[in-house]
Amino acid sequence: MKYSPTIKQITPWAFGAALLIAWEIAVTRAQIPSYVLPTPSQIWAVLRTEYLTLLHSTWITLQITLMAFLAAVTTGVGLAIIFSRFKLIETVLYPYVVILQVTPVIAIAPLILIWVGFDNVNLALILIGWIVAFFPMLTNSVAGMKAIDPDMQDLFTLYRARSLQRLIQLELPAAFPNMLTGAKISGGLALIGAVVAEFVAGSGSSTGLAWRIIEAGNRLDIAAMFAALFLLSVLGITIFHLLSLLEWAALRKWHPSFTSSEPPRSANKPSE
Amino acid sequence: MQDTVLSLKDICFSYADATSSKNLALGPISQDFRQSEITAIVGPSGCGKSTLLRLIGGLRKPSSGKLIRYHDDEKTGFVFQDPTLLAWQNIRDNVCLPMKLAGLPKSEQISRSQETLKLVGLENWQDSLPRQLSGGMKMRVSLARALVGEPNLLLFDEPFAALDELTRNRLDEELRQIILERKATGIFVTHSLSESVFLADRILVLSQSPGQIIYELDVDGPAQRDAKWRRSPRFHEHCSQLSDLMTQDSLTASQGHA
Repeated sequence: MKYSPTIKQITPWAFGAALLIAWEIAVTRAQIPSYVLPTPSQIWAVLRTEYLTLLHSTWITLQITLMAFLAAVTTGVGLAIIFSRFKLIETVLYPYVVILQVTPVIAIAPLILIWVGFDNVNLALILIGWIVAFFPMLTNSVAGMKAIDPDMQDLFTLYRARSLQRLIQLELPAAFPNMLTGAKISGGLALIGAVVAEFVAGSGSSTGLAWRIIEAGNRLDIAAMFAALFLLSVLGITIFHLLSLLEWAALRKWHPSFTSSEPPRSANKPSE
Repeated sequence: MQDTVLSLKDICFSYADATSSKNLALGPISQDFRQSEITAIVGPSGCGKSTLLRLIGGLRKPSSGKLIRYHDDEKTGFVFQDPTLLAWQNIRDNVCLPMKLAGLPKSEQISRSQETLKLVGLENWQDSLPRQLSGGMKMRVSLARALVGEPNLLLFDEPFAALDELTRNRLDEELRQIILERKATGIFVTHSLSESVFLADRILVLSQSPGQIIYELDVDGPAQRDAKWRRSPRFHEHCSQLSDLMTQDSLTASQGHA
């Protein structure tokens, strides 16, 4: 059975709406107290009345996430470039990068907060977000640069390309699709890292969305917890979609992941 | 007598394997290459003919021996087995690449790329992306990119192997024309014996690995070549001569292993 595009677009929203209505009715009928499970309308009410505080917290978390993400992108791509130029550095550093990645960040976070966070808690939060977000950026960039056709590299050698020309004309554009894949993962992880960091930092030192959740939890204000949670989801979804949009804008014309879904072009091609 | 533009003197190439003992892949090979002459290199797969071409192009360093180029300002064009085009750049920019890397002025890049694209019959496709072109057209772009720097040495690594026979024959005809018009030196690696006889003035037959030149065949054909040459008795004579040689070589090699 085939559905029209309109139906395909509407059904997920309709399903979500139905779920919310069912939630609202069930909680009201069963008279569940709001400190156990609030209704969607109660959560909405919190969003409306406390939107200034919540928006401020969203902004704080967004800032930390973005800084951690940007740090992950620059260091990930930068290190990938260095690895591609100096194999020895890759051999020496890679095990430690893996160690940094496999150690649960929640276990490192208190240490970082003690070392960095006393004077500057935001720096500590960014650092923790960076640790989480950095690895996929690095591995995807490295994979992208290693996947370049050796003949292409030979071509640049033949025309005596300088190292910087090779990087700008060949390596960065060729690895760009992989970097975007890394960025889509890193973007989400940066947010997770920022939230974990805020949780570890605890109340008082940071005022992001995670802090709102802790603080509302202490007051058993479950509706406010849901409101902050909702905003976190919105943040994550927005980051993902913005990066997907960037990917689409940069690759749709030439990359097989976008072009192969189009109708076959061979019909337009003149024969030899 | 034509000028010798390039000489190989006892060139060897070895792969260093894991145990660090050297594995000879190629050589020793000594050979001269002359201006306005097309040489084809044929041989069994794995004999190192692609490596030999990369050694000639300076893309690999020989383990021993010397490579001499007699003229100053030698320019090399290389056409790989695949078109190796930058997928994110249009046809014009792909053809401009060698000039861009050499730092030529933009206006000169444009005019020369236009000229060369016209030569390969793609002047109306400059703004297209590689994926919009057929396999044969992409190969023409690759050829244009190799020609645009006006190289005096043109190297081809089985460039038309993936194309259908008709397209391939047509490109072979055009290619020979272009190389001779430019008084360049062409070296052509192929596994197709008939293609080598069609294109080349001289054919070098490499042995099984480690590749050495076991036979040199001067092709007794006209300067201008077309379908008529392909149908001539002389053409077929050369083809069977080569085929016999290579069968013999593979027999000797397998006896050697037994």
